[in-house]
Amino acid sequence: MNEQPHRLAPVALLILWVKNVIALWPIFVGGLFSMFGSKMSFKELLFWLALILGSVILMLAWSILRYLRFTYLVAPDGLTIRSGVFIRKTNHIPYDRIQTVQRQQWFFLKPLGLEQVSIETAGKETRKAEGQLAAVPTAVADTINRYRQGIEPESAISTTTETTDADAATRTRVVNADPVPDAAYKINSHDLNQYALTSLGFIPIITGILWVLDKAQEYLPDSWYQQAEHAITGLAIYLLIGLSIIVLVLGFAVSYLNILQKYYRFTLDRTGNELRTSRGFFQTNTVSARLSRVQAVRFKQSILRQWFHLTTVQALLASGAADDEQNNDLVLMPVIRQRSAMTDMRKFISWLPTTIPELQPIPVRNRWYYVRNMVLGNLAFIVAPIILASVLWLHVSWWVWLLPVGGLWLLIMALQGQYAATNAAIAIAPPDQLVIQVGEVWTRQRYYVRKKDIQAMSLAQSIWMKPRGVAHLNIHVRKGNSDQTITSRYMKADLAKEILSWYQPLP
Amino acid sequence: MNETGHALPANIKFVWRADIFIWSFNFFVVGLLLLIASHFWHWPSWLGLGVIGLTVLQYIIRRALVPYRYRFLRYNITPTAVFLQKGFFFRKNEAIPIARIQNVTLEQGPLLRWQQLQQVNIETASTAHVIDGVTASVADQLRTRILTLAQEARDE
Repeated sequence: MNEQPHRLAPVALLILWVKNVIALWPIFVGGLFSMFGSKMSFKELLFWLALILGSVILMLAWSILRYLRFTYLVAPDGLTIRSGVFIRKTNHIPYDRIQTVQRQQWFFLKPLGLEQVSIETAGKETRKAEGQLAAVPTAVADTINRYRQGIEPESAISTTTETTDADAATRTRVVNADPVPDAAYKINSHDLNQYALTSLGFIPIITGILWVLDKAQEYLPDSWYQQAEHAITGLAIYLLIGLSIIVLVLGFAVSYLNILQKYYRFTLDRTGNELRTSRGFFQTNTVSARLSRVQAVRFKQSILRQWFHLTTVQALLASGAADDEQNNDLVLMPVIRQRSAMTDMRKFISWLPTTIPELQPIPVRNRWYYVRNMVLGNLAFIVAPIILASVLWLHVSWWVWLLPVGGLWLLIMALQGQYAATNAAIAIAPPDQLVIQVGEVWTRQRYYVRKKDIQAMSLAQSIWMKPRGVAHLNIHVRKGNSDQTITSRYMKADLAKEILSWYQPLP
Repeated sequence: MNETGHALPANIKFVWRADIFIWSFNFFVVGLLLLIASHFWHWPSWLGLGVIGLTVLQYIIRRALVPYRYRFLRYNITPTAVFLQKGFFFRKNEAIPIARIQNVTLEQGPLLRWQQLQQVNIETASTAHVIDGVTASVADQLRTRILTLAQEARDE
């Protein structure tokens, strides 16, 4: 069906143009500032308008050129993408090299039956996905997926035409063409609600709102404030309380709704060796990845979710375009009961151990190293410099206030060190897996890694740690296109050596 | 764990010293230029003096640490893995299984060429490791060994 190279759907031109225009934001911001900032002569106004209009039109021309140059061809031997205005580029991607296929469909593309498709191969060099089709019919990704699963296009077509009078062999193919997943999970509203409620995402949002309020104070005309202050002098305290409540509720609501829309209709399924997750309200985001791309599985619990015995399961993928989350990790299960997490996840990732091995926590007498490092590090790099700077440069005696705040900060950091120390643990899950648990920023993370996915391992020990029998163990795992180092700090040196020689027999 | 494996050839120390000297010299020149600039344009003179001071300081420290660095740097290539060890006060032992190695590159700048040594860069899917300098024959031996082993490991 795809002998001729295709252009992207015309709407891609619009998307491309908008993207390019957005990339010019400094011009708009500059123009806006100079328009409001000072009394502007008509000439200057004209200049800015011309600049903005000119660049928008220029971008349109550029986008049209790029759009016309961009073609793709879904052929039986692979996907071919031709692009480039001045430098022509032909990228041929054989299907068996494709490791992940990501489909993103904004709600306004849904009625048109279009979506964005990003294709990634095992190559390590490039940061971006190798093949990106900005707007193509959904059938394109379906066809690519069928080719990847080794199904001939004839059978793929025959499923749609329903005129098969073929033998058993093709019939099995037809069955394969619309495969029944071996395992499937769909989030229910209760779980989604719980996930959103126990999220700590409101903290950054509240901080953001406070920052905006603070900035607004600077930019609003002074006369407003004087009037407002005059009107509410007596009510100041109520206003303050009211405002804080509004900020809290707003922050929480934004975070809650954001998670709801992000994980709306979350599904996870496995077909053979392929994992697929799908989610999103405004933008449906579907990621298909080979199981072999999963480098490690992470069970993640914030302290809040720890209290509720809930956990989030993520996969560390050897792929950059896995997810639009900031950290490239693919969420396999947004929220799951801690007790049943293992058995449920084994349906999708069969290599996970049947029973959770008994983790070896770090020795109790080593815990204070965590606390010490946290306190000393924060004292040396944050608290002491700030207080010193305030004493030296600020004439107001700010340090009187900064001192107790700094002390409180150090106390919180000490507690966090204690939290990290009590959660740090490690164990070998026979025969070939390593389980590492770390506590970072009030979040407990437990990694399951297979020996074959550990790229390198190193043991670090200072001369002062040696007589105490203490060592750090660094485990290097591939994540996205780079390295994730999981460190087990201040563990028993003997255990560290045992794990190192389990990984690689020492000479 | 005591030092296990092979020490680097002794003339790597010349290379390190020369390398430290060249870098320091470059920064020294930058500092001098800053001093000249501050003379002409009335910049604060501590800018140039600071750069020169830091350069001299780091030169002395790094230069003094060369024997220490040499003494405790070890590499060991077994049929299944590459082991690297460095440091005494802060000791680090790295293990890189040959089956994980994606890439081995030999590198030789003018300094290494002068001493007839080669730097071996080892890359896995996520990490990069360096053996600072080995003789050309050892380097070639290493490379072919690692590559054949890596090939065998992949063919399994």
